[in-house]
Amino acid sequence: MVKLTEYEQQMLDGAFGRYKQIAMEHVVEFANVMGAEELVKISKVHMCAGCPPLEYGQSDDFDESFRRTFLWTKEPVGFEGYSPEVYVQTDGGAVDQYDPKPMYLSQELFERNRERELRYAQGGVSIVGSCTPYLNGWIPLRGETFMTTESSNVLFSNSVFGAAGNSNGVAACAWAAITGRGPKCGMHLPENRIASVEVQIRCACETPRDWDIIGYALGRLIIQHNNAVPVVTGPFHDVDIIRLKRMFSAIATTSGLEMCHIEGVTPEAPTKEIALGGKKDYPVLQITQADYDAAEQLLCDPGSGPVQLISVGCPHYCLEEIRDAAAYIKGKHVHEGVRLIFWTSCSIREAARMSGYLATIEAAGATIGTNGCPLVQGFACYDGVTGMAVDAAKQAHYNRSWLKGGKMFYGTMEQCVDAAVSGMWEGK
Amino acid sequence: MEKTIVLKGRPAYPGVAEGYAMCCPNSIQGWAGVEASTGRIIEKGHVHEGESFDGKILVVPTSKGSCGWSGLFQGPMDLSGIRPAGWVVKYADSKVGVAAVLVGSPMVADFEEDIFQFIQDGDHVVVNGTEGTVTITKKS
Repeated sequence: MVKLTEYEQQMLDGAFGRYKQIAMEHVVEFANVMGAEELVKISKVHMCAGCPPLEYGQSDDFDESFRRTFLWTKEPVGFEGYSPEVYVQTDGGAVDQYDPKPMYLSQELFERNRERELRYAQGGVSIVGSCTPYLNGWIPLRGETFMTTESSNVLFSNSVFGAAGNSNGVAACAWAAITGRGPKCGMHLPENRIASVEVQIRCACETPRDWDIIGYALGRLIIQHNNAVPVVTGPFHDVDIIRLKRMFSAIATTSGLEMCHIEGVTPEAPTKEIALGGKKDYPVLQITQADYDAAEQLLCDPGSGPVQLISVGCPHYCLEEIRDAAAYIKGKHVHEGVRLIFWTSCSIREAARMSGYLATIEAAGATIGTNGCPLVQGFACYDGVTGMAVDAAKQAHYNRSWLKGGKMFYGTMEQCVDAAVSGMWEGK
Repeated sequence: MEKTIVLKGRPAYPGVAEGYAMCCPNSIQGWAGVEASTGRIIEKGHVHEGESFDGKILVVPTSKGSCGWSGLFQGPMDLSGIRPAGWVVKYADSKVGVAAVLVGSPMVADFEEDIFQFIQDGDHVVVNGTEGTVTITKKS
């Protein structure tokens, strides 16, 4: 059984009210399921707010929705805010923050989402609405602890920042945001962060799309090794935040990996030997060109065909990617009957507006979407869609479940824009 | 004579449950993996695509993909009270842990053995989440 501090025990005993007590009961139960010996302070939480992109917990009443989605109790307890000791920023939600129409969503949902965002803001939450909070000031450094509802953010924050956090779940993020606590297990324990397998890259590894495909293939491989923490070794060069966020997003699609060292790049892997903690005997796996080609084939349907929905920006584009997209689309125009959406956060959208990128994109008949992507806002957007094009493995993988027989095409941002302009995906 | 096997793991969620095994050697994808209203698996190409886990003993290696993994089970619970009767999990990561809390069914986890060598679809399984034992009666 987990051992609690005096403060934690007081919370569990109800000294700070039933709201915190319920959340602490869940945290303690969670810790016991994990076999954790103690709890850990959580300093940053990243989680969906507003209207969550979930099929369950739906209610016209905000407090009932919060109770069923997050508190998970039948008692009549509503939202009473999050701990001021925890910095909470929002993940994507069920509707755009500017315009619901490109995703075929209603004005009523749009308005309800805004009302709920304001309720959460009153409870201490910063409203951003992005899967890449680290592009918007939510940055847990080494020695900090976090919880997030975004799987690629778990990999990014553990691997790149050296912070500590696990993939938990939507409800557990709320429990942590209320109590400031989570189970001390998984990536909170130094021994679990050490690599136990080497993954050698032996395929094309230049462009962000290469890193995306490698991530998809790596996830497929590593889940067969029980999500063993890998150290990825090259040759590779010109590694940047765009390539890493693409790779981690794809890995998190096909595996449950929470940490991925990259030799010479991530802070706990200055060398392969250090990442492996001095192990001499460990499995060595490879991502070959054949693995790369097989992953690519899984992601993109063969041939050519008409497209009606094109979704670009997964994980959410940074300002640099929006700049490049605006430069490429400048002077072109999206084909009639086609929707082209570039996804990012509201804060980067504002910087794109200030930089003139938004005007360029809108002049071409495309839009900048915020607060999510088709994976969280897509319940209606597939109507009439026989072909969809995306520039991310994660989108290609998951959207198939909802596309109901339509074709899924996967390529570069440039290929996606070209398809939007012509209305046709030109396959190999 | 029926063949019975007993595996020993870590008692992760207390209680005793029994039912027929639903083995998912590649787990279930954490987003768009299950229809919330029915508990039916909708992951494309899944070995149990189209089937519900309602009342089954769910056998998984661990979670897979999105942090929404626990939501695969929270949704059917919230909407219809549908849930697996029990769990056998090779390695319980944090996403599995949250699902266990939300579902409240007995779970045994963290085995040394490859559980899929011993449990096949349709085997009758008793999960003792208090003692940490899994008793398997092979499908005849």
